[in-house]
Amino acid sequence: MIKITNLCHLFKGAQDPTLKDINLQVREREHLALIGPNGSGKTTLVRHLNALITPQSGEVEIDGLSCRKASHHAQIRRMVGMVFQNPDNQIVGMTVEEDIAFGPGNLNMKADEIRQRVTDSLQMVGLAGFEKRSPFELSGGEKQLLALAGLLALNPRYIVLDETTSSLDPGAKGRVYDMVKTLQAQGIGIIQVTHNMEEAARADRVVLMKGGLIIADGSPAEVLTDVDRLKKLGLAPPPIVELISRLNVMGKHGIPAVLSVDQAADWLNRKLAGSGPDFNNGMNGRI
Amino acid sequence: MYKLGQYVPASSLVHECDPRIKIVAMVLLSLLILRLNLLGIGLVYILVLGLALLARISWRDLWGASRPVWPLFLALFCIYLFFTPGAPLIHIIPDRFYISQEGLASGSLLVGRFWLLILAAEMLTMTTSIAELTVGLQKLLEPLQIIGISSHNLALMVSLAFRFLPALQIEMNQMRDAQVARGANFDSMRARLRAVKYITMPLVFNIIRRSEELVTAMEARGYKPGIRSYLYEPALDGKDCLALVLIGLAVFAAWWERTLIIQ
Ligand SMILES: Nc1ncnc2c1ncn2[C@@H]1O[C@H](COP(=O)(O)OP(=O)(O)OP(=O)(O)O)[C@@H](O)[C@H]1O
Ligand SMILES: [Mg+2]
Repeated sequence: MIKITNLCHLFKGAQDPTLKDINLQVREREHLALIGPNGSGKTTLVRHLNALITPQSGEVEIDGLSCRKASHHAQIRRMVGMVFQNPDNQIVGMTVEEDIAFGPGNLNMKADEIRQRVTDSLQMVGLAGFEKRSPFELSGGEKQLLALAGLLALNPRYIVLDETTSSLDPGAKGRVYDMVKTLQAQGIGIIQVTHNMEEAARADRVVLMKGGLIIADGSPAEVLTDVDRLKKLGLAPPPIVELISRLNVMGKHGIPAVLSVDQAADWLNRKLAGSGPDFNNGMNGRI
Repeated sequence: MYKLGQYVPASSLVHECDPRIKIVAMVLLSLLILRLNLLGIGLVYILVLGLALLARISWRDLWGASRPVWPLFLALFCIYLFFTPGAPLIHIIPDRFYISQEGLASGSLLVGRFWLLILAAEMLTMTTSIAELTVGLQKLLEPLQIIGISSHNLALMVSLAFRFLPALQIEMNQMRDAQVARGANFDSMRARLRAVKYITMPLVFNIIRRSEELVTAMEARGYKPGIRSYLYEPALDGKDCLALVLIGLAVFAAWWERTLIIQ
């Protein structure tokens, strides 16, 4: 489990702290979406998780290991894999396979074991056949997938994706989503920083940050259906959520909160057919 | 057309040769080339061109890749040709400015020699990937640990230097495009010179920022200085040993053969 308690962070020379008393726990097998406007501190928070920033005050523990101790850092970095916002600056190798081999090489693995990991992780992200290509000649989205493969090769316990999917096409986004679910089933915890609310809707849990504080933490249905709050923060709620919310405001239709087009279609279909009970989204019809 | 130093993947005896052997051969050959006379250099040309055949690299590509050094060699040759005193061969301005026999001889020797060094280096880089080169270098430098220098760190330094070359080029192109999109023009020589100012400063800052981010990404993937392992582990086989023996014999034979050496 990742355990963050009373974490604060003030950048040198900054007026206001970037993180103000953050408390958060992430379990194994959890898919958590971290959302919030630009500059709300998401990247700063997740950088603590693999000890790239050590806590100034408060505590960050990964499976019981404190990030405050420098002697834990190597192990923590192996346990928490991280894909950064800008894929260009994560390329180390001159070919795709060499780049992925960098992490396992740091662990001093044998050559054939490294080879196996390279093959497996390329397969997972759907870049099989790219082994000999130059990473610099890949498209932005392919670079993101490469960075992801580089991290999978380390067999981490938790994965942090910092806006990893922002430049992926729907197909690759879907592939990453499937992968997230597969990894989750293997017991890996996933923390996904995203500006895409539809993506956040597919997580198990959504944490909303603003100005260095966590202002909401709950199921997607709880956090993402608060359309007014999201819009005030400059975040775009999923269009289907906004549509339903507006319909309810206009006509007191009492449509239950939904998160996806599928759920909405399901409810509407039943309603139009004039049959049966209302769609149950697990929230007892609360909007 | 290949660039100078570009790897050309293929399957050949030369490609499959252990990178350590190729590096050692390249160093030995370079030392030898500096001592050979015209006849000796001619023989090594035949050797290098023969190796190119063996490596399935066409002579045209080998020649084409050395384009960037042509102007330099031409300039060197002319300087020797026109400014070496000696027995006049062709007069340009009678008794004042002439091409001497000595000038022709030493100019051709110098350029022939440097060109050979370039071709030999090309043979190494065209048949050996950066990964193989770095691992080869790391293994060869391993003994340095006696004096406290980590061969792993040196090898990483070399590969990172190579890694930044394409990054630098891409960065520069992007910056130029961005400035062209904002109305800059790079058509005239003057405009280009002026643009240097607007390119270099941001370029330097970007590279520094990029290196910092790269270090962070490397740390996030568990990098720590010191011993590490590689995807590619070279292993000497019979063919490699034979190659080493042959190269060694050839180099030392040439070294002691007085007719091939500058007296
Ligand atoms: N190295 C730094 N030095 C000083 N201030 C910083 C530094 N890094 C980030 N900040 C500041 O901290 C705040 C939070 O930044 P952070 O990158 O965590 O935001 P974010 O939520 O990830 O935003 P985005 O959605 O744009 O990625 C910002 O106001 C930023 O200017
Ligand atoms: Mg960020």
